[in-house]
Amino acid sequence: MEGIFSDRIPLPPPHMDEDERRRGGSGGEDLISGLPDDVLHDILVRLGCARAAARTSVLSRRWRPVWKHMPELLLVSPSPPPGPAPASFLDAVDGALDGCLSPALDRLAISLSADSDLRAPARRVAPWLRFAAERVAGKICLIVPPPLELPLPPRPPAPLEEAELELPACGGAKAIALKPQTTWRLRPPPSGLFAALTALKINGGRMEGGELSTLVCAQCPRLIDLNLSIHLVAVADVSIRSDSLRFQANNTRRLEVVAPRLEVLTLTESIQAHVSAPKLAKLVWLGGAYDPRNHRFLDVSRRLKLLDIGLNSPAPSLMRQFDKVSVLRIETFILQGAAGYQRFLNETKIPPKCKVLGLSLFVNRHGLTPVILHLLRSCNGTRKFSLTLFDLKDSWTHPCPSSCPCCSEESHRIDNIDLESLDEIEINSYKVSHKDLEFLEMLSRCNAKFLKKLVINYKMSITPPETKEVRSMREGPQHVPIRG
Amino acid sequence: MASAGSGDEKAAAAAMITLISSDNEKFEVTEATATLSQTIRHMIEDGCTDGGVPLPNVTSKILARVIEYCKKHATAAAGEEGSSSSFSDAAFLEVDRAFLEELEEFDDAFLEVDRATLFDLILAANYLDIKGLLNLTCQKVADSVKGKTPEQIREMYNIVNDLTPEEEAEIRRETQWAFE
Repeated sequence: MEGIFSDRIPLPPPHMDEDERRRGGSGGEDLISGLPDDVLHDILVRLGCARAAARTSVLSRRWRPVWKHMPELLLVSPSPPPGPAPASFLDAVDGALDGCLSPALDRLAISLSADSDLRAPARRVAPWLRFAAERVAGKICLIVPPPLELPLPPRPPAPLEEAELELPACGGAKAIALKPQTTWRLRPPPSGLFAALTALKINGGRMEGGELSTLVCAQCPRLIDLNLSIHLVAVADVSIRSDSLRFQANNTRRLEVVAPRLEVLTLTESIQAHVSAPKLAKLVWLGGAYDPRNHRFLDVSRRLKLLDIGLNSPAPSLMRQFDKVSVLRIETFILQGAAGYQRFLNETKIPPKCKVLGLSLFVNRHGLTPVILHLLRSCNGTRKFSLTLFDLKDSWTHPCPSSCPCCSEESHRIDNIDLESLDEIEINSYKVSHKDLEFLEMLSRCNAKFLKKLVINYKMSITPPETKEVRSMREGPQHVPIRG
Repeated sequence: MASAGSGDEKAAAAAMITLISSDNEKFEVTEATATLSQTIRHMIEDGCTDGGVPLPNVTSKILARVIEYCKKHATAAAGEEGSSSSFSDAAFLEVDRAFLEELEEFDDAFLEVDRATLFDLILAANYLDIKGLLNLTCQKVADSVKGKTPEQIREMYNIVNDLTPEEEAEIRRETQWAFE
């Protein structure tokens, strides 16, 4: 049992009188310098700034080397004013990396604030990445964004530097997040492995399609989570292998995803995509119009946990790719006029069976009630209907003309909707009028006794007074009160 | 029946751990409380807690405070586990939030101690490997240092500057980037 108590931690001096130890002010005991090194490292890391940590080196002889062995280095440029001259921040990063003696950092984070005048040329950043490749065993985070483009710049912005930034093989890092300047071309190493890397995020910058494919397919054997938002230097095909993927790369001609373990996929560009992912469970489609000729889901199950279809991504035939989806989310803006409404009806005609239906809707001149009744009609068997409303009505003073299908009597029929399985309605509203909640009153008038729960969250607006019908629906112990 | 009863008692007794401070005071705590300390958790796993756990580095006064912390946070951990399955439920979220706020208030009040006690708590947390308590106490020290000049830090913590003027000038040159 003796061995469990290591001698690493010094015993508090037993000879010292309690009162003597309590004495503060000058002449009191220096308790902080007696703390073990790892505790001092912990305290210095918690300063949240490598510069502040390094300043403790002048406290005394004891403190001189302490900061150099900290397990984390955090270098964030201050937003002026106040703050040091921007150029000195680049020197501070160089100085901190130069002074650091830790052989395996848990974290290295370098971040240049976008609102400073600071420009980091690629040749200054490259050595930082080389340091990271050699010395980081945890997370690397490097953010060098271009300065913000202000609406009225005090002087015309200098053109962004077109440069190459070499990403050396980081053998020890587990996670890398890079935000290079948009014009930089990021070049992965011709050889070498990112042997421990599980998460890679590259936001901004340019890459060559072949180099990208080699990097993620061959050089990152343990990659689980890949998040890309880049430009390809030239039109190219890309292949990906990862368990989780968010992909956005302009200039991709064809994306090839062959990923036996891929579970989550987010596609954000309308490109040709061939996806082979037998374990796919969650698909987020932000890729514009879905075209079955260009977007092929091979070897993908017809059942998903989540299908999320983003704004302006009409994808009726994508929905038909799946029979059952636990959660179906649709974000939509229905175009004005009869044609726009008819298009919405067509696009949402045959959704897959779902337990939870989430609709984010930008409300405009079309009536809200017929939209919701249409979706409830289409999604028979849904248990929970979650509605998020964004009101754009201010810019539309007139309601739809009666010729629009949203005004027809047929579109307001509720007796042809099977509501038996609907347990819960949740409404998140940013601004909504009584007229918009007409459908709730309709539900309350028919067989709304089925509803176990009704949640209404009003956000950023005054809670409208409840109508009698809404009140009556909320009766019963399980109904959660309306929150303002 | 009687044997079943004594079995239960035995189980209950087995879940209690005796901690012995440097000044030989004994503290009975539940296993859930004690195992917030990784050091003690490993001892329990190795079966070396019979007859109590001597903690020669921790006085009774500090051990009492450490146990107070662990009791509160062991309850919190149990609460979190219990409610995690229904996290989406608004009512539970409300309860969780209230609980977290209470815990934060407890932590704030817990840190209202003189400096010597604070450093004793840090040493005890480090020795017993209680991550939450170490984070809490180290953050308190870090917050007190933030924004201070080296001179102010020396004065605050009674650090004697044993560097020669030449040495100090050299260090300031080396780390000039940190002072600009």
